Parts: sequence; structure tokens; C-alpha cells
Amino acid sequence: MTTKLRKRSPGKGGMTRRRFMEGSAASVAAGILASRLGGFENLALAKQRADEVSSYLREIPTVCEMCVWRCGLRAKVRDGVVVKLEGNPDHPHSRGKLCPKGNAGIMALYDPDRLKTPMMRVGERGEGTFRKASWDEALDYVAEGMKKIKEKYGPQAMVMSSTHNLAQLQFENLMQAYGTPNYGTQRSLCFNAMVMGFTMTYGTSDVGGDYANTRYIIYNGRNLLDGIANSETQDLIAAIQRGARVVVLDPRFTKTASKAYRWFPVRPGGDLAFFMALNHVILREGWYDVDFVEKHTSGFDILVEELEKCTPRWAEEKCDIPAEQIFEVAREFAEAAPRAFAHPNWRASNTLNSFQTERAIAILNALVGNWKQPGGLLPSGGEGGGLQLGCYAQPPYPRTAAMRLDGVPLKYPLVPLKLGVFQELRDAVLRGKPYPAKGWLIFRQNPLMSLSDRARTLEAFRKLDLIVTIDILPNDTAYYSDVILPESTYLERYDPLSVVGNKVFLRQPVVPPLYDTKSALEIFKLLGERLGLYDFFQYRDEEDYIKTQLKTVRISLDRLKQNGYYEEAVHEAAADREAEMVFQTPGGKIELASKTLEQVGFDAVPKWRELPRPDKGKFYLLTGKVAQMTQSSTQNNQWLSKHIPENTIWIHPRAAAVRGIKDGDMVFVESRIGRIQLKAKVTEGIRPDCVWTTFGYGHRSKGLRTTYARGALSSDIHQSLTDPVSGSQALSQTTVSVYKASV
Amino acid sequence: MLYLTTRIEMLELLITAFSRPREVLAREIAEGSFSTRIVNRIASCCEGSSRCCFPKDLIETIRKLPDEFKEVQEDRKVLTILDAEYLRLFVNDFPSAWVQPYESWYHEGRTMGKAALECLELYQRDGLAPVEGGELPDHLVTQLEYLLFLTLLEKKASSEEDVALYRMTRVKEQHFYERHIMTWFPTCCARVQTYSRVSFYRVMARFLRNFIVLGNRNLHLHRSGFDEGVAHDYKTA
Ligand code: SF4
Repeated sequence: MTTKLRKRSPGKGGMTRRRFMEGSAASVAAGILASRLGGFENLALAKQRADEVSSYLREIPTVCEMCVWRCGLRAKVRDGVVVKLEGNPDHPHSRGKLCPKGNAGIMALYDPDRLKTPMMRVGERGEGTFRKASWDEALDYVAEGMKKIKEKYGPQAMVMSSTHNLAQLQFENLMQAYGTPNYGTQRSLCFNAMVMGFTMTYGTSDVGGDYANTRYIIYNGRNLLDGIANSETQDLIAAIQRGARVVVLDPRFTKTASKAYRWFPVRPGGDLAFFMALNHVILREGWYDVDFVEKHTSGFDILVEELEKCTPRWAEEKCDIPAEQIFEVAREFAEAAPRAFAHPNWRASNTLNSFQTERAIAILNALVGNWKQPGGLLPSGGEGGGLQLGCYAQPPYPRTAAMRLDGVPLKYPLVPLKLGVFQELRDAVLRGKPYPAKGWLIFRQNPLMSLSDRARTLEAFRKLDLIVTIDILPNDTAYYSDVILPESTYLERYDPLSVVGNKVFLRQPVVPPLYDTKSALEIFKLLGERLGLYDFFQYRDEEDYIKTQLKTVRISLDRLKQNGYYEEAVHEAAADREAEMVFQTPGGKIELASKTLEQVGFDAVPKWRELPRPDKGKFYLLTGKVAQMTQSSTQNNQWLSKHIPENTIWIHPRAAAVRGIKDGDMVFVESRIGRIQLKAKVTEGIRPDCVWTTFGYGHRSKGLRTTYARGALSSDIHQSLTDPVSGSQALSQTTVSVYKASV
Repeated sequence: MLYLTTRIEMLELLITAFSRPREVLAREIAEGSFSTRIVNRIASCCEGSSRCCFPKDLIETIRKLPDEFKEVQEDRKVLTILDAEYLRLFVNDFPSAWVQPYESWYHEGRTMGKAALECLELYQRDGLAPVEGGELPDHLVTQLEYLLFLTLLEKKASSEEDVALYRMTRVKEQHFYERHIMTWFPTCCARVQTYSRVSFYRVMARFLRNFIVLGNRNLHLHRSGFDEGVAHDYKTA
């Protein structure tokens, strides 16, 4: 922690006029307050003199939580008020810079709509009438409800769900100790296909690109200039400045597309054909890395056979990219290799073909042998890995007595338990089969908005006896809950440590909590203890938990609080191991044809499947990110909302003209399951058969006054369709009609 | 005109009314002692005067406050009603209460804005600081507490005949009224009057509005040339 003390120069004689006046009033303050014991609950005698207090400008290192990238930051705090957030130059994710959301974190702390106290519902569910409760009362109620559900229906009747965050491990600890297998994460709504596509090929999904040395990058639906991943976005810009060529496949002319060397407005779902054709050309022309493929891959012959017919001409009509250009990209990519990579993306094109598309991308990288090569693909591109942290010795978790509700592994045999298939979980709650769910504990997640088909999620909520939300804002899900437990913001609390490679970073409070809120670590402990799970929550408090984590590294918590991070020296032996070609697949090699997939009855190599196209006059409904927002969690932030107060629907001028739609007109966007109203943005930056909007607007909670009823929510019209292999929701398979609202 | 002791007592009542409701408040409202105390305070300040400082119909509605809870038998239930309303109005106003008790919100639409920092500085200059875990520095109740502090200071100065302290305190009060109280209390009170479903808060908001208007007028009526000089010193110190 850097503490800057700016001394005021005293006036002549050592006492300023102001200090004299302060002194005289302050000296009587003690007497006045003492004479009214109990009269003042919010003001007390100051411990420091006024001039001492106001001259402090402290810089406290911590970790951003405005999205999941976890950039290191330094909070500037004056008089107990956070006045500025700046990127921590020592943090590998921020390198001294914060994105717009990171800068606006101050307004997450000072948002007047924040949850300020535990609340319990008093009216009908969804009516939004609550009363204040003490922490004891609210936690006792939740624990009692959870115990009753466990006794009557078994622990599996309790659903628990959480987003990606630092306290998630402890949430999972609570869930496993309680004994339910029913875990809902946002992963199937986001990156299941990528994680599984790369895991089935390389044995790991933790893959990044070596931007510093690359000459050629292919992105498929990844829009790093809007879906900001701070350091990676910085890397991309630096790579472009250095002359790296960037190819972007996206039906929309995104900001990233605007920086690209080639932009292809690919047909949604046709991207699989594009990558199969790239692989075909590279194999046919003999541009692959023969040595690498022989030594480190398996299933080559099966792949060659399958790709035999997948020529650029074959792919052209499927992806709407001219055959000549597909060939050109294949040639350029192979020429640049191994200093080239096709990015794993996060969601690719979001169709029923997503998993196989990710497989085709993984295979393309393998064929050119760019694994662990300068400018190629690198393992451990993301968080985690590296340092092992200390933990408490705990008893084993109880055996779960039931199968999961989301169909993993029966229906989705390969989907990892930690990923799950969230939309299937919701549907099972709704059906009450194979067994009924009775409660749902939701930690910093907003399933009422994030799951496609909001009406269905609301219906599922009606089946439950107990809905509990732990969050910072009164979001839509909180609005429909029975109990709301308010969490402190990331600027007011500790979280478990964040590990990035060989560095450990600390999230710590930069100001005390403004309201009656608690950290997730404390909430889980208090709830766990009430459920009788003492052995699983042995920490006394947050600091005690972090001290235990630090037992395996050589830094004290006090030092860590000052520095914000600790870096462990990388031993040479470990560095050598990193260079080895080790793949955690069944055969120990990169699997061009996957044995695992074959065993469970899926295609061992990517196969083309024609997907339904929109009927005449209809559009693919596409969604994506904007730089100012993180999913549905930041629209109420006043500094961010100012820039994008509502979402619009992008439509091509030709499609708009046919329908008499002008820029700024209100239009209805209608799918098979519903209709929303949005303002039209008529632009050539979108394919004529697609419309696009950003997700996260259309909040129904009246507690969010900045964003309430602004824009509309795509989940109201997105159908729940699922990629059969990875369980990823296939958002871009929803088709819609668009027409003027005022006719 | 409001006597010093009356102002102090009224401020204490207002602080209680706009703080998180407690059981004792619920009981006092239900049995009528809370309204009686207010009515008595009003009566005492206007004793002997033909014109009361507060509107007659306001006094009547204050007198009738217990009627709202006539049907409610238990004090606990009264507390539950008050608590739910307090939450809805001032804390997390699901579904649509629209009353923020922070001055910063009225000027900048956020919490801990410039107004809060200015309040902090004023408190610090008087040797005070917000209690950890208490309300924010520009919360309605924190500002009322500061006003109470200044009024107590004024009373002390007056009883000890300390002219300098008295004048300085009056200047501080004037400054606090001008820079803070009068810039947002009227709007905030109007919102409570509009949005509260419980008449207790509507009536208390009206009472508060009248109280601060009187307080402000009182300070300005007694402003002297000397005060202006002290005020200049205070503001530029
Ligand atoms: S990318 Fe932006 S929002 Fe995300 S952690 Fe970094 S600074 Fe915060």
C-alpha cells in the first residue's frame, strides 16, 4: 500500500486560524456528545484531527470484479471515499490500464440502488414487497428451509447456482457438503463448446495465443474490442500495430472486424464448413507440419478421409465465403505457421454445430504444429494453474444420492460436472422430473435474465418453495426471491486469493462496507454452520481463510495487503516440464479423431450437419457484447448506462426498406416464443439475413432505477436449444420476424 | 419562533422518526405517546401566541397518527408494518418507492458524492466523524444529528453567555442550512409524502418540511452584520 501524506504547512506561530476555530469547537464536542448518550447513532467523536484526516490519499491494491477477467487495480481513497480506480502496472491482466467498466467500478460501490440489508419477502412472490431482516433472522430462515427440504425430499431437491467468481470454490464447498449434485453455472450459456472442443483434442481447455510473436490470427465470433479481456485486448492491438494479420468471421461488422485484415460476414453455423475447408486445403496441399502431426497427433487417416470432400467450393455455399478466399486464408495461415493461431473463441457461432466447430478449430491449430511455438497456441493462457494454495483438511463430502437434473452424464455423457447444462437443469425443475426440486440458492447470478426463454424460468420458479439470492444489486432474480442476502461489493470485501500463473493476487477491502452487507466467504460460513456443516467451514473470518491459503507461499497477509500480489520464482525444472509435449488425452497425443467421442457415440472427427435456415422473410437472431457492459450486471451503473442507456436491434438497410423501417423506428422482434420491442439501428454492418442486439437490457426489477424497463431482453425471445455434445445453448438458432411497432 | 429547547426536542423526535424503526417507536406510535410529544412540543413553542408556527391541519393529523394502527393489535405487527415501509421507502425500494435519503443522490444521482464529502469535512471541523457501520455522512438522519449537535452547541453557548461561540454556531447552522438542508430536504420530504403508503411517514415528512422552513427562517431573521463577518471567516477558513 502506498500512503501519501501531504503535510499542510502551518501558519505563522504554528497554529492556523482554521485550526484554532476547529479546536475550540472540537473541545466542546466531547462534552455535548457525552451529555446526550444514545442521542447520536451516526456521528461520534473523531479519532483524528480534521487536517490529519483530509490530508490522506491512500492507494490500496486490489482486484477488479466488473467482469470475470480480474484485473489488478489500485484504488485511490481520500477521507474514506474511493475517488479513482487505476490499473495496477504489476498485474498481468491490467498492466496499468482498466477498461471502461473497470473505471466505472466506483459507481458499483456508490450505486444508490444497492442491496443494503437482508430482506425477506412479505407479499406474493414477484410482487416485490419485502421487509428488512437481521442477518441472524434471514440466515436462520434459509438454513431452516434448506434443512426441511433435505429431510423431506433429500439434498438433491436443492438447486444451487453461481457465476464465475473468486468465492465460487467456497460456494461449491457449501453445495457439496450439503449434498446436492444440482449445480447451475453460466458455462453452458457461454463456453461449454470451446472448453469441450479443446479438451477432446488437446486434453486441456486452458489455451491462449502467443500474441507477442504471432503473424496471423483467425477469430470466429470473438470480438475482443467489445468483449474486453483487458490484457488480451491490449495484446491484440499491439499485434495489429506490429503488422500481424487478423481474420475475423462474424455476421456483424464488429469493432474487431473494423481492425481486421479480412472480415467475412459468415452465415451463422456455416463457420464449421469454413474450418473444415481450411483443414481440407492444408491437408490436400501438404501444408501441414508432417513431423509434428506424426509425433504428437492421432487419428490422422480418419480425419483425411472425412475431409476428403470438404473443398472450399463445397464450403462456399454453406458459409457464404467465396471458395477463392477460403483457399487464400488457408494458404496465408499455413505460410505464417507456426507463428499463427486460430483463436479458441468463447462461444463461436452459438449453433447446434458449435462443438464440432471448436473441434475443427482445434484441429486446424494442431495440423500446423503451432502448439507451444512462438506465435502459436500456448497452454495456460487463462487464470488458475501454477501456484498451489493452502487449504483446510476437511472430511470427505457426503455421497450424492441422486442423478443430476441437467442430464449430465446420462444425456450429456462428456460434459464435465463443473460445467453442467444450466438450461436443462431449469427445464427439469419445471417438469418436476426425474424428481422435483424444491429450493434454489443463487449466488451472484441472474438466471431470470441469463437463461433463454425467461417465461420458462419464471414458470420453474413457481415450482419452488424457497428461492434465496445472494447479490449486490436488486436484480430481477432477487426481485422474485423469498430471501435476499446482500453481499458487499468487491471494493468492500476480501475474497479467496486469485492465482495467475506464478503470481497470487489479493482482493481486499479498500473501504469498509457502506451498508449492512457481508462478504460471500462470511455468508457461506454462517449458512454452513447453521446447516451443521462446521467441519467444512473452519475459518474464523476472511483473513483467517486467506492466511491458510498463504501457508504454501512465502508471504504474510500483511505484506500481501501492501503489495497486492506475490510472485513465486519459477524453478527451472518446472519451466522445462512446461516445454514438454504432454497431452492429457486417452492416447497422450492430440486427438484429431477423438476416441472418447467415438466411444460414446458421437462423431470422432468433425462432420458437417446442415442446420435449419430462417424461413423466407425471417432472420437469425444474434446477440453479442458491448464494451461498456458485462452481461446483465452493469446496466444500472450510472457512468456506464450514460453511454448505452438501452439496446437497439441492428438490421440491414435492404431488410429494413422492405419493411418500411427507418433508423430509430420502434420495431417488434418476434420469435416462436415471444415478442420484444426495440429501437431499430439500420446499418450495413450486419448480414441481410441476421439481426443483432446486445444482451442484458430489459430489467424488470423496479429496484434498479437507472435501467428499469430500458431496452428489451433477448432471453424473452431466445428459444432453449442445446448443442447435443457440449450442452452449450445454441442461441443463434432462434429465428425471428421484425416489423414496425407503430403500424 | 421555535425556542432552543423545543428545537432540540423536535430534532430528537425527527431523528427517531427517520431512523430504522424500533419496537419502542412502534409502541409509542400505537399508544399515541409519540404524537402527544410532538403536539406538546408544538404547543409549548407557541404558548401565548395567537398564531401557531405549524399549520393546524398538520397538528390534527399528528394527533390522529395512532388511528392508523387501531386495528393492529400487537406492537410487533406495527413494527413490521413500519419496518417494511422504511425498507421500501429508504433502503431497497422494491418495487418503486423512489425516495433516497442521501443528499448526493439529489445533486449527482449517486451516493458519496460531493455533498457527502462536504458534510464529512464539516463534521471533522467540529471534531466529529461518522460512526463505522452507521449511515453515510449525507444521510438524512446523519444531517439531522449534526443539526442537533449544532443546536446543542448553540444552547450551551447561550446558557454560558459565550457570545463568540454562539455567533460562530449560528453561522455554522446558517451555512449547513444553505449548503445542504435546504437544497434537498424539501424535495425528499415531498417524495416521502407522495410515495409513502404509511401515513406515519407522510405526516413526519410534512412535519420535517415545516420544521426546516421555520429553522431556516429563524436563522435568517437573526442574521446581523456581525454574523456576516463571522460567516465570511468560517467559510474561508
Ligand atoms: S477487463 Fe475491465 S471490467 Fe474486466 S476485470 Fe479488467 S478492468 Fe475490470
